[in-house]
Amino acid sequence: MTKKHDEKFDLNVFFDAARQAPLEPGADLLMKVQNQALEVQVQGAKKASEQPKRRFADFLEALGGWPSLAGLSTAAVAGVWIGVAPPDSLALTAQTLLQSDVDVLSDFTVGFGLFEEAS
Amino acid sequence: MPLDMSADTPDEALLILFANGDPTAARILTVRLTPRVMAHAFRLLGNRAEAEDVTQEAMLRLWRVASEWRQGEAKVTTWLYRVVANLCTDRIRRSGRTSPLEDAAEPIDEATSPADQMQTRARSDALQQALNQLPERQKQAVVLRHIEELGNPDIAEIMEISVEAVESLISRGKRALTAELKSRQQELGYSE
Repeated sequence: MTKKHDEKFDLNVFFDAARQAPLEPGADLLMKVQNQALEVQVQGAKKASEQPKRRFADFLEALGGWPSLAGLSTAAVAGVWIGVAPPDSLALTAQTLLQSDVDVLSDFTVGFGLFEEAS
Repeated sequence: MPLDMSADTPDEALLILFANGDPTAARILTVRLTPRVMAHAFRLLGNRAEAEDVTQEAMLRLWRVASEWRQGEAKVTTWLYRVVANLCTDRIRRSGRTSPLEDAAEPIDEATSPADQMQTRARSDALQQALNQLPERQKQAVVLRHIEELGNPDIAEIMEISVEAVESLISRGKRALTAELKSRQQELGYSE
């Protein structure tokens, strides 16, 4: 009996009424929402323009900051200078080092009798 | 972006344009989405001032999430309905109340007679009062199905539950609404 009575009660007329009378936002609210949108856009653009600066800052931080960068620069300049105008002692040192390496190698091979002439 | 393209452009594409700094996309999305958000918030809260606050907050969250929006992941409206529901739930829980009905005083189609307008107003107000008595999840499901006219799969996605659970919530909600509206028919002065 109750079920039959409920079926006659049409909820749809209430839903239709609700759709016909929606709550509309006022002009003030629309303006606030739009201003917020434009503000977020401006902040986004600002952040995007700061991105390359930030990347360099991150790189510098990874190196150890400005003092480390100064040390690295000095080492690089010194390297270039030595390449352009090597001091006399450098050639001698290099020769000594290379010769010494060869001696060690020949001693090593001799020790195992690899290059001894067959007699 | 030319304004005449706006009607055919999906919300998701507009949101990406917005994230790329297009001010026209911001205007179109504001005009298109704010009324839907506001109407939904009001149906869930039953209070205009609170619905306005929730609308502003939900739209602000949308603007902020725009730069991370991945196309094809979700519909903008689905995301918004979910955010609105969460914001409304937070407010209702914080205040621990069921909102009293407010006279929203919204314009109804002026082509209808004053008597019809009054009838529509009375029914809409009565429905809102009855909705305010429902548990939150039932209210949300009924509003999404019968006022926003979404399909059950969409509602299931918004509410993050199964379609069967949506059907059950709607069915229980409508039973409760029928009982409430019938019991107050005389008191509220509306007719079926």
